[in-house]
Amino acid sequence: MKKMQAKQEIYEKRPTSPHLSIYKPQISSTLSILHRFTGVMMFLALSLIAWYMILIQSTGFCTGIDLNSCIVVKLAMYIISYASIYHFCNGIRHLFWDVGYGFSIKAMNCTGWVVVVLSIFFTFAFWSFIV
Amino acid sequence: MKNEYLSFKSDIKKAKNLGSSAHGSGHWLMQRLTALLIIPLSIWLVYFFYKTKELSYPGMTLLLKQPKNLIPMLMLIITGLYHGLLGMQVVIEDYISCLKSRFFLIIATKLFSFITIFSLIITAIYFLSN
Repeated sequence: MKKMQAKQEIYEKRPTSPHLSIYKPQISSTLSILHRFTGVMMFLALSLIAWYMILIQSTGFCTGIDLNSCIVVKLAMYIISYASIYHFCNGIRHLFWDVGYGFSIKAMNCTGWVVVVLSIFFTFAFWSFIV
Repeated sequence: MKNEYLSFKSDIKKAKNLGSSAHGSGHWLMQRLTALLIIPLSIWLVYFFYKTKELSYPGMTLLLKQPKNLIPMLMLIITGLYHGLLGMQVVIEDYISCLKSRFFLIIATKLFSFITIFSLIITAIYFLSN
């Protein structure tokens, strides 16, 4: 704890980078923050789904309820499906950056818009053809 | 990676509480490896949704009891939770500047995910034996 306190004091003396609200929203920064936001959302949703599965098996918790008829669950499913598909598409973009492709500004903007269009298209395709 | 325990000298950066913890590269790599694993598994999940769209709850449970469906499903949820845990750690490290709350939040997230993963595996065993 004492060591942590010392570290905190050092951290607070360091300069901080300008905060997000100062910057003009750009395609690169917006997609980056959206990637994190959808990731956090999916972690929470996945935990909820896992606990739902655990409870439904061990206690028979809400077995008789049709979750599809609940408007909140339906809306949550639409949002989570978009979040998953967006995170999937942008994640592939991130993996390409990790192996060293697509770093030019032109390529970054181009793949960014491709991800936006594809994720919306895939979400519509998912709800109209798959489910 | 150098062996920290075999060295007699302590780095000045460590004495001053600065510098890297030398755990970062493994974390980074695991995040990418789990991401690679999730790509085919999530495509499988979409295919599974397509295949089961006409089925009701009992039909779905019957199908999920087959190992060829249960294995990818469990693998997707567990790898997803692990990938999410690594991601949550990065997000917490980046946005929580108070070191004490950062430390406790990371520990809480890790414990919560491990409990979830463990309970899920036990539930799967129970699900198969019934």
